[in-house]
Amino acid sequence: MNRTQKKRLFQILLAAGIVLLALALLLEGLVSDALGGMLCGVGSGLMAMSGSTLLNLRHEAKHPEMARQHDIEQRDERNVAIRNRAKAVSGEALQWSIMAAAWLSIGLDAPLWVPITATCVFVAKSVLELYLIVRYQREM
Amino acid sequence: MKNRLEALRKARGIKQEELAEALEVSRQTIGSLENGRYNPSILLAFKLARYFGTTIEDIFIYEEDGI
Repeated sequence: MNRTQKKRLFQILLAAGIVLLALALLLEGLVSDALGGMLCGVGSGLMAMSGSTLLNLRHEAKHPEMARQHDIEQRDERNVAIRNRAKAVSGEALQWSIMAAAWLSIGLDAPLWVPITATCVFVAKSVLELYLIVRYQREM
Repeated sequence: MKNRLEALRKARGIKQEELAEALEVSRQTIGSLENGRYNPSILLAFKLARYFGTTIEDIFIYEEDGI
């Protein structure tokens, strides 16, 4: 995705965020609190993410040398390897934390859906990991 | 894996930043390569070899354990 396409995408996301936030304010009292909160949360999130990205893109457009350096940093193979390793390790840590939370919830007499949901997330992550291993083994 | 990258770079009188710029990698990557903390991909190894007008074997020294 080039810079123009990226800018267009985040402008659309910013507009969507504004619309969602406006809807949350306009529909206050007409819709459930849960739906209003969801509109407000998603709208604010989209606005913040898109706004910061657009500001970054604007800054990079004014300073092309900095933008080039940023691109190099993003594509740099060592940085990519570091990012991928960090993602893998943090994903693994999160997976086992979820399992620990499941055991803890059993110990704390939490409703049954809590450990079941946690176990399902654990199993889903393991299945996805296995699927990706098989897929990458075929590709490489 | 050991390498002669730092010696080759210094022999040419270029800075890490300049080498990084030419190869389109970060300066930190050049530093890590020179310290032997990071082993490059085969593509980067070829880029380095071409940049210095030599072969990969001339830059990187492969030593098997126990030999």
